[in-house]
Amino acid sequence: MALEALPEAELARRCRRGDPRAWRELVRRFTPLVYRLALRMVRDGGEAEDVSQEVFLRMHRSFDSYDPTRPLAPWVARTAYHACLRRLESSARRPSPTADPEALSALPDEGARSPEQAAAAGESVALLERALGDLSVQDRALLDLRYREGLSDAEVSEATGMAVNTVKTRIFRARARLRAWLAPYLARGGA
Amino acid sequence: MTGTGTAAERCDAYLDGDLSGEEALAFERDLAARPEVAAALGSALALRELLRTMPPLSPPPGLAARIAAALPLGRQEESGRAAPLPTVRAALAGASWFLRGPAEAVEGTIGPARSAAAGLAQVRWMLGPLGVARQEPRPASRRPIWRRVLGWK
Repeated sequence: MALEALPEAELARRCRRGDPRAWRELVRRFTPLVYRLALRMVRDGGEAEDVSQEVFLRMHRSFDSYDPTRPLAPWVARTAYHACLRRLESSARRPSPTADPEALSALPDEGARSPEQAAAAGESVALLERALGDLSVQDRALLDLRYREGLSDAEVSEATGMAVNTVKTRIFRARARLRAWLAPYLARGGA
Repeated sequence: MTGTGTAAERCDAYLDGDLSGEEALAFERDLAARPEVAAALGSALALRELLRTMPPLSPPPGLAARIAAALPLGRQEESGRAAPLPTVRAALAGASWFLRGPAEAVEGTIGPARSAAAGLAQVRWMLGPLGVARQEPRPASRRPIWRRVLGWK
């Protein structure tokens, strides 16, 4: 069976045995998730790349701690989430929403337009990026894992170490803040 | 979440499947009767759709390859077959030394077998001095014992 089609459980079994080809496949499959989450949290392309590399090194060192009866994505996300938090703590600075000019180049100039004007111009994604930048790092990660990566509340809980009810409450509050920010856009049904 | 929450709270609970059957029916009745509930549900759906369909933040080209290259993978077998356990190898080497003497042991007669049959033959040879397996020993090396002990050709 081609490695690309290998079920997660078998891929994990081979990784546990130290098969380099399985590890390369694991990296190929999960780099997008790790990089997206890192970029969402640290808001800097270079740092997101560094964190991604650190995440896979950590996973390689501690693969024995992975429970093969569980899906891989939450475990990978948990490693990435905590690596990002450590990175942010060590850098001791609040991430800037416009820190990465490449990834966030679509953002409109702050102050140049009100949310209403931006919505009217149809810049929904840029508006959402800016609204997400206004949330805490943890809340951005929760929304990313829940909606972008499609994890369930229980899996998000596993990835972040928060209780399921905490996850639900935080996501609800984060959505409420986004709704308030995006009200003009959403009132038109997101069209 | 009950019917007493705000419209937004009820919409989220409805979409998350957190309402009981009765609460869901009540919500659906409200949805038909109250335009503000319908508007709130529309906003909630639009926001979720926006979050799900944001343009992907793709990793830079080659990032996965660079990460894989940085992992310490090189010394393991490409075939996916696990390397023999060091403890088993050490035990076999020790038994070989004890049963067959230093010359045979240092010559490397005990080691990973290429097949199950070869492995079985190796174990039988090793156990030969105990009389467990009656098999002729391997042909003796023509090298003097001191050369074999020192590993000289």
